[in-house]
Parts: sequence; structure tokens; C-alpha cells
Amino acid sequence: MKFFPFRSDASHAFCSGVLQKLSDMDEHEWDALVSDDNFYNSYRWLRGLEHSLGATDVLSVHGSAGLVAACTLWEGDQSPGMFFLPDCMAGVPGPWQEGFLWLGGRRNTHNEIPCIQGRRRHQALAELGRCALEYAQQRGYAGFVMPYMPYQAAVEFAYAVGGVVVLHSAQASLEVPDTGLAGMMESWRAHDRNQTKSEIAAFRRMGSRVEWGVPDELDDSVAADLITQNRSRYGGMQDREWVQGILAGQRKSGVSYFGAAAVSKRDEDITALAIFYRFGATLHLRYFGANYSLDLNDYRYFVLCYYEPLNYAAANGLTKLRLSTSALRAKVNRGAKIEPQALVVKCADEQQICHSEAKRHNHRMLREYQDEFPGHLSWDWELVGSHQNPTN
Amino acid sequence: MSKNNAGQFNELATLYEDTAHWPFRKEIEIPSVLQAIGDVEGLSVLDFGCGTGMYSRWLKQRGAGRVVGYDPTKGMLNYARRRAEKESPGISFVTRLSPDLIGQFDLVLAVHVLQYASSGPELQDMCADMVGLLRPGGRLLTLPIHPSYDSRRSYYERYGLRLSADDLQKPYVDGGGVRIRLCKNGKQGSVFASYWSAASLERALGQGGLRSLKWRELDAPECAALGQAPKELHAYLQKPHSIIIEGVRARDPQ
Repeated sequence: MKFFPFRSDASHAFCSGVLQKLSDMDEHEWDALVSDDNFYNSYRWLRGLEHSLGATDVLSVHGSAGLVAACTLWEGDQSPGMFFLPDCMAGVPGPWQEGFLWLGGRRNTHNEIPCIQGRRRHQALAELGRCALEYAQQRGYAGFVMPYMPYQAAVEFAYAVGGVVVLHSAQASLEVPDTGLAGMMESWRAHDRNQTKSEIAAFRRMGSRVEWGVPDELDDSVAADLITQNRSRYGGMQDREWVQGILAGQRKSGVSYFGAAAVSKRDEDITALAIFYRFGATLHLRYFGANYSLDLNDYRYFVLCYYEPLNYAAANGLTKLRLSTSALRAKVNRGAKIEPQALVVKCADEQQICHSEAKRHNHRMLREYQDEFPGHLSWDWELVGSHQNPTN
Repeated sequence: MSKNNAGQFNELATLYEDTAHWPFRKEIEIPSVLQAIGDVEGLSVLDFGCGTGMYSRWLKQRGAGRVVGYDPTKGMLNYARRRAEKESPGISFVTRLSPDLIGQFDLVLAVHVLQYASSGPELQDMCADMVGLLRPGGRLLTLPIHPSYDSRRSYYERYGLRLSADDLQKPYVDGGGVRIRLCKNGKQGSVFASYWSAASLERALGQGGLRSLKWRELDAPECAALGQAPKELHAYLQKPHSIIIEGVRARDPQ
């Protein structure tokens, strides 16, 4: 154990740097900065990605007592899709075909900067942003982005780093009643209640049942096959080996300790599965997979992804179910609220993004969601309305 | 604890957790506290000012039933939650004391907490809160700054600790400021605390409803006598910076 002399208060300034892999950081120190909702930036999740996809650089900001802010880095995808910047920034003029540095975990659909709480939080975020921009400029990137941020987190980060907030997505979540699905159904209209009852009845009528287990008990090749079938059906490009590699990485990093798998079976055949992760008081849905060669109209997607996890969450003291960014209509119809997600962009050349264009885009997106999901938007859309009025 | 006092801990979670491995805590404070607590099998425990939740985790691992960690500092509690969900699931961590916690616990533990009361009334309130959480007959163990701590700044430095009274000429005045600095392995942090005399502590705890007060000096439970403790700990053992006070909540009058 080394003993260092007591230093003066001048040592309270931050010190930032770049590490070449996450394993150079202490797990508990990192996770102390990660909130319940920010599971996909937790240490073990990110280590799982490192095991599967290789190490990436990590930005870190330290105060005199330890880590105060940090995030992993990557480059986004180079082909159209959810992590392709021109797609994320559609409708906002700018140099989006150029290379940008991406902050957060690879292919994360929920990002917040792991950062301290309290009076120096703003300074810590600002220092991380300064460090990210310097890193980007040194390597020839046009700037940096952090995508899929909850709107409030994006506004806070953008304010700290002098960046611009651009709405580009939305995610669904459910507040879990103490009584699970029954409690949720009590708040629904009769039509929605009846629909859910008939879907669950159809599931049972087809001879299907649900078994909960831990991901470690699953055969990765079977799980990967089902997940890949689902992803291929909706345009996903990754093959079974890729998914299997991801699951193996999770097993190695220990993140599967937080996992819970809902498996739909007929006799002993697995017909579908959903993989969740518990983190704090939140249950995060990450993967759904199904055997589409079985022509079953048994509503296994809804049973595994909405109905069963509400009961599972309630039984395990969890208060929120996060359902990610896809199929929002189906989620809304089953009680979910839609939350805005924004990207924070900081260009090396400040002239390259027009703030008023971004505001117009955000306002337009707000109107679209208001039109499409009236009564189902979370309260922070009101903040979007007050912040993003182009006439302000 | 006032919001300002709580806020000063937001950046200190990792450093505070590290102190569990520093010799004066690892060899002296922690075993002394665990020995004083004794068997916790099945007990309901509230860790008042739990910080990173280290005692909460250990008590859960030792068989405590319901364990609640309370700390108003979000930065500390985030560490506590993240670590406990990996190592000791089933602990609930809260940032405020809700009325449904009152009178529910067999044991309330408050390690390094009372010194963050910055005024007499605040000390009184804090003690009343701690005692109020106990069921009648339940035990409170708390570790304030030792009323006879060594006020020389350098005394505890070899242990990674420095206590500096605001007024070096009068370090033992009730409510007097004490700056506590932690420094080891290249990390450093400091917090502001207050000194409370034995009389003030006893009065506040007594008025809060605690009875049968006992003072226990910290020692090195693994060593039969001071002379058998590692030499580097002798100075700390002669003048520990903290002390255990324990007592029970009076049973309600019939």
C-alpha cells in the first residue's frame, strides 16, 4: 500500500485521459457512476461487448478522490440502420457523412454518461466533453455524438459541452404496479383488457407455457438461433455466430448474472424466448427470439415481452420495465409510455450545425409523436415542447 | 444531516470504500464494530448513513434478515446499490426515512454519522431519528468522533487520516468544526464535520430515547493485548479517532 503526502486543495482539479480498454478501470468505481436506467453503460455490459467485439478506448475524468465521469468510445455503423449517423440525423442539415466519434456502448439504445452526482457534476461532464472533442480532433473526426440519450440527460450533457440536442428516437417503458399484470390491466379500457386476456388464452390453448430461468442455463446456440431468426425478419444483418459471440461475451463478463430469460415451450420444444436484465429497480428487455418455422399464432411475443415480465418484475420488487425502441405502437397498446430520445452532437467546426434547424427538426418530431401517440407520451415531451419551440 | 453536509460525500464513494482496507479500519474499527454487534441472524437492521453500504453488505452476509441502508447522498448510495446487487442482493437502499420505517428495527448502526450534525438541534434530531427507527428494546450502535481524539493534525496521518480542528487552540468545543481528510494510494478527499463532547452526545441520545448507554473503546479484537497488535497500529489504539456508543431504545411505558 503506497502512502502519498497530504496535498493542498489545489489538487481538486480534474484530470482526464484515455484508456485502451475497460478492464483498466475498477468495476465498482465505474458502476458507482451508473444509474438504474443506464444499464447498458454498466461495467459488465460493456465488458461483455469487449469480450465479444474487442476493446475500445475509454475516456475517463478523475477528481482527487477517484473517477468522476467516463464513457466508452466507438465509431458507429458504416451502413444504414440505427447506428448510422446520416439516418439518425435525417432532416437536419450537416456533415453527417463524415466520420464522427460515438460516445457510449456499442449499439446501445439507451445512453447516459456515467458521472458523479452533486455540485461538480456539470464540471465533470464539461471536462469529459472537452476531452472527447480533443480526442476526436486528434484523430480526424468531424466531432462527437452520443445517441439514444433520455431527453433530459441529453439537454444536461449538451449544456455542459456546448453541444446540440437532436431528437432521433423514442423508447417505451412501463411503470410496474405492485400487482403486476393484473394491476396494469385494471387501468386499461375494457377493450384492451379483453384483448390481453384473449391473447393469453390463445397462448395457453396452443399448449404453450412460460418457464423463467437464467441466461446461463440456456444453450447459447439455441438462443442465438431464435434471436437471429427474429432479427433477420426485421432487417437485422447480424448472423447467428455474431449473436452467439455476444452471448458468450456476456457470460464471460458476468453480466448474465443480472439476466432473466422467459422461455416459451410447447412440450419440450422452445418456441420463443425473451432475455431481460435486472438493474436497480428496472427490468430491461434486450432480446426476443422465436422459431418462425413453427406457424403458431399464439401471441408468444406479447406474452413473453409484456405480460409475463410485468408479473416477474412485480414479484421481484422491480418498478419499471424498459422495452427499448422498436414496435412502439404494439407497446403503447399494452400500456407503455413513450419517452423521447435524443442525440447530442458537438462538431469540431461549430459552423457545421445550425441550431435553429435542429430546433425545427425537434419540434417537427414532437408534433409527429403527439399526433401518433396522443395520451401515451411521457411527461418529458412537455420539456421538449418548451425547449424546442423554434420561435424561442 | 443537512443537504450541504450530505452533498460533500458525492465524489467520495470509492475512496470511502477503500478505507475498509486501511489498517486502522480493517484491523481495528471494523472487527470492533462487528464484535460489538454480535450475532445478527434474522435481525432487522438499518444502516444509518450507510455510505457505500459496506456494513449493510457484511451484515446481510452474516445472516441479518431485513437490511435497509439509508444515506441522503446520492453518490454514495449509487455505489451501495451497484455493489450490493452483485454481492449481497436483498438490501434496500433509501435516500430518505419514510414513516413506515419507524419502530421497525432490532438494530440501528450509525458509523461515522453523528459528526455530520452541524448544530446542537441537528444532533438532537439525528439521535431522535436513529432511536425512533428501533423497536422498543432494539439496539443502537454509533461511532462519533472520539471526544478525546488527538487534536494534533499529524497524529493520524500515518493511517491516511487527518483531523484538523478549525480552532486548534480549542479543539474540544461542542459544535466546533473539524475537517476530516482521507489520503492514501494517490487518492484524497476531505469533508467537514463537527466535534461533540461526551456530555452532548449522551444528552442527545438520551433525549432521543436511548437507555443503558455504554461506551466501548475500539481495539484490535484479534489481539489479546495492545502489545500484541501490529506495532504500526499502536499509536491509533492509544488514541483512536472514533469510539462506539451503544444503547437500547426504552420500552414504551405500559
